[in-house]
Amino acid sequence: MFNIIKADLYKMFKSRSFYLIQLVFLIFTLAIGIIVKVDVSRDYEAAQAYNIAMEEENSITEDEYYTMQEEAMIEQDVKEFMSIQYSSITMLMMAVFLAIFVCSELDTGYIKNIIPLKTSRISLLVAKNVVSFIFILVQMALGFGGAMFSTFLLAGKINISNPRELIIYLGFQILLAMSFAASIILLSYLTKSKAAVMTIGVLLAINLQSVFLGLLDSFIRFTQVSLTQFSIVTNSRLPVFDPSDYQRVLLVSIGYFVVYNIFSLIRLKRLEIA
Amino acid sequence: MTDYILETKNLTKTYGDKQAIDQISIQIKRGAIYGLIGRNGAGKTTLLKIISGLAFQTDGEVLLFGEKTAKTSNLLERVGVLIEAPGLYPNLTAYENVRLKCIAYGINREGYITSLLEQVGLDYTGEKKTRHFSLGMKQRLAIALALVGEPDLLLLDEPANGLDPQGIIEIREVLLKLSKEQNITIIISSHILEELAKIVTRIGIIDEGKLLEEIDKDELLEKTKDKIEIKTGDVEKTIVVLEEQFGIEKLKVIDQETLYVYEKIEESGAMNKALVNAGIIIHSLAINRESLEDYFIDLTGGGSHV
Repeated sequence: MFNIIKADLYKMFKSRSFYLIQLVFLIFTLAIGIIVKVDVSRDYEAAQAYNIAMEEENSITEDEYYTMQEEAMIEQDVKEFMSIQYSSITMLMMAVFLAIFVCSELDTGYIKNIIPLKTSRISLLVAKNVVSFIFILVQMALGFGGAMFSTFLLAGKINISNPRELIIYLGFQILLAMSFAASIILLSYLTKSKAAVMTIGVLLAINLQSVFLGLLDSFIRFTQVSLTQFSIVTNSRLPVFDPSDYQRVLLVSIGYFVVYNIFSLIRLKRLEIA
Repeated sequence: MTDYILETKNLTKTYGDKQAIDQISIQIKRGAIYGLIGRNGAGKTTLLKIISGLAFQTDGEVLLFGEKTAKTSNLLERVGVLIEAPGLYPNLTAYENVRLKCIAYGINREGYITSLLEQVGLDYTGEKKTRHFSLGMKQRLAIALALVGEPDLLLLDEPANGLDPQGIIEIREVLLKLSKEQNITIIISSHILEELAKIVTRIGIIDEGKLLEEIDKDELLEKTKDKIEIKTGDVEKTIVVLEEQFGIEKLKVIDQETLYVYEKIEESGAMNKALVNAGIIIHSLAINRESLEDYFIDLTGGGSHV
């Protein structure tokens, strides 16, 4: 099993799509800070134009305006910027990467080289989850770097107001992302089509509730938790240390991760390689 | 320990209403080069897929090295497989593709990959990605991949498919070398009969999912050799005349009125005259020139190419 995992990691680090997608994500994360900074500048110009138009006697100076913005920016720490990143675009990128990675194993016929190995089918699935985890970690590291850049750009300093909260937040992001990855892996083995998996991945990433989630809700009456609704745990206005909230998300996302992987294993065990 | 490296017992595979293979039982000895011949869609690939674990039989069993594969799945690790398209990553080099499989198999010996590529004549490819390889190069790389792990048994599904004559010769030479130097048992499927006959030791002929015949190569060549077929009223007297007057030694009695003569084909006219002069009733005398294709077509009862 360990050897098949190593082989998949070797494949991942040799694939162009891995680096390309991470590069796009890095550009995206850096761009967020720049866009917000530009927006602030535009806000100032708009405010001045308004003041002049209204002939306000106590219109603010540019420095006063920026000071007000900086004070507001202090609330926008690294965690908040990461919550902007962990949106549809992140999962969309992961769906694209996993669709290519898993389906190409079947398209190229590489899987035929591995199948004769004992425990190959379960090993292949474990390996895909390991690859997903590494992908998520790299993406998270890039996102963290981008978030630090954004706070530095706007507030003049790297702002982590609550490290414990940030760690909890990142932990949940990994869990939710792994659950989402498990669904993409299952779709890949079911459809064996990159195009189909990417299409469904996009639909899931833009907050379309999965059928499974809807069914689960109707059976056990959880308040719906979408794998794509990261905002539930990222919204800084929520009482983030509310135990019941985290417990629910934790249980449901682990449950989805396990169920999707069980389905994938069943599919792999019965898969006849064309 | 069994002499047979592979046995199948009443192996059957059904896809819906279609029977892909039907009660196929074969036995292959260690060190043999076994050829599976059949038309497109005859069931050759399906059979190889089931043996290699890529597909699952509907009924019957497969024994590898004397043991049932269902019970001991690690037996398949001793089998090298090349079925249909080679499983290559187009953006990796030959070395990287082989390295990938070596990692999966836990092989980390220095020089191992290079030696494999040398065996199939691909050690010169360097940084060239496999998407730029010719078909022949891809097939040779696929053989190298099948050889990772030093398998005892190689399953090759039409390895010469799509190759030019030079490519076919190269593949044949590689396989003969492997068989001779490493005593690897090879099962090779093909529809190029003449080419297969140059390499195999035993042939299984499949048609519409059924195994029609298993025959040793020498026996097949014997059956398809040029010969004179004589239908006579007195076989014993015919043999005496042929031996005394023409020195014929290579002949075979088929039944009470038929015999085959395998030498001095060009003297068939003279033989006919001599037999008639000896008072023997000759019902017919004809030269049979049966090619391997003719033999196959006669056996399968079809007229289309294999």
